[in-house]
Amino acid sequence: MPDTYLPLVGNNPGTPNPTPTPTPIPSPTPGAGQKLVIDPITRIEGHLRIEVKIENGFVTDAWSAGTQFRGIELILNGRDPRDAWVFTQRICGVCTTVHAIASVRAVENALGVTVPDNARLLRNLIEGAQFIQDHVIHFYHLHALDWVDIVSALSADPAATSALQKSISN
Amino acid sequence: MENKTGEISEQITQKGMSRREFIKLCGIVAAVLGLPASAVNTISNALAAATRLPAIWLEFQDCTGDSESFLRAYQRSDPLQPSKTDPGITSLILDVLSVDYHETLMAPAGFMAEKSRQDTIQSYAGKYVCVVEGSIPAGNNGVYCTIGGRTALSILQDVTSHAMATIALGSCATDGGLAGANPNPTGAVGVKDAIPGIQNLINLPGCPANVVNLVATIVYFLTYNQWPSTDNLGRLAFAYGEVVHDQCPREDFYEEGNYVLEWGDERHRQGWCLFKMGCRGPRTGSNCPTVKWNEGTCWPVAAGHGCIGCTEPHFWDTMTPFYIPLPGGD
Repeated sequence: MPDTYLPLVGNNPGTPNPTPTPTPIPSPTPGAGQKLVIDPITRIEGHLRIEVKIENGFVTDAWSAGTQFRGIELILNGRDPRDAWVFTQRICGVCTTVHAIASVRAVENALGVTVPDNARLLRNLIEGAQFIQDHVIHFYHLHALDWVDIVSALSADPAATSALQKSISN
Repeated sequence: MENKTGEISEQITQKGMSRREFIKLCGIVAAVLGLPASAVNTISNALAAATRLPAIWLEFQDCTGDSESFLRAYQRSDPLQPSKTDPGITSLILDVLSVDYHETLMAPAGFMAEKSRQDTIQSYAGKYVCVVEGSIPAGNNGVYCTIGGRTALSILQDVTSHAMATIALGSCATDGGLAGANPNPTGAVGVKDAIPGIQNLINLPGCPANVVNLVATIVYFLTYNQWPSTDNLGRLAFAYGEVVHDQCPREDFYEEGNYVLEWGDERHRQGWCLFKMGCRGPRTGSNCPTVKWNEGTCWPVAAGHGCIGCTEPHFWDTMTPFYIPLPGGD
């Protein structure tokens, strides 16, 4: 691993933080600087590493690093532009369609092509279908486990859940 | 963490599947495997007594497409007559495979994720299956894919060395796939080249691989305690042994010389042969035309696009440009 990371998230000392004072993060050695590394970040497509710097119980800096590189841009270089969408679709197997359509549009822009109305409508339908499936996948397979404690779900009270649901929606 | 005997039949019973439906499913698995009807009883008896296979699912230079295929493990045996208790062959996947480590699906992250992988290796040493998705970058000492500060190759060596078998799932894990396409900037290779001489390696190429074939492979192993036979490219013969073109429902159009000549033309609308639009079916071994996708309802040619040959070695280089017809098609 390289030992330097591009700081994507950093506190600017000149800018006051407008949010309310957060609760300090408990630190085994109060006052001392501490680094927290989470790698792998799971339930995402690809590979991600997060490093967090903690001082006096507060996050003072953070770095994220994608730890996978394939070089799809380099691989696309010099190929038949009609093939590009098949390659770019593989950027992500979870949200394939948007990468394919973005690539098709890029090629069409370069060639000055205007697609017929039927093609536009079909693409919108395909993107709509992808939008729905991606949200379902993202919530139930990927994100939900951040919010749901599966073990305690076993002792959940369905009636209380239902009552809560009814109290906040029609 | 010990899995117990009879666990699979217990799981299936819990789903409310009747004995008859279970036998029907076993019949479908047998058909996919190309086994005679007499194998159905053997399969059902074996499954009823078997325990789930523990699996460590590794992802390296991947797009998660094979995992997505895995998550689509829901196929009715008869799409036209759905019933609540007939969830189809791929519903068996979680009954036959216990996926104990999978970065995209598991709850823990960071140190705890790493720990669960090591725990599985220790608890099931020599008894688990290693599923690999994505290629392994050999260039620059492996910096192009690291997990928990370790290179893909180091993790792969660790996990496969204690596995009873390794399944390279998808084209990237088989031969380097997309990342391995020319000029292969990261030196990406498949499992067979990352660990030369690796024992008990099963290649299930495809972009993505079809989960039906994964189910059939696991069921075959649970039934016969050995892996299905492979073709000359090291792929499973039952899934890749037949040429797409020979099984294609549009093959008659080919024989009659009735080709689509332009996207959206009348011939395209009539479902004629896509050979002249660049279809790679004649050069590709796969059971896509019979097993299909999307709950067994469709596959690329049925949707009106040619086969891109994704189960063949290095298809990103050998099958492209995709829209230039094979020799004889121009």
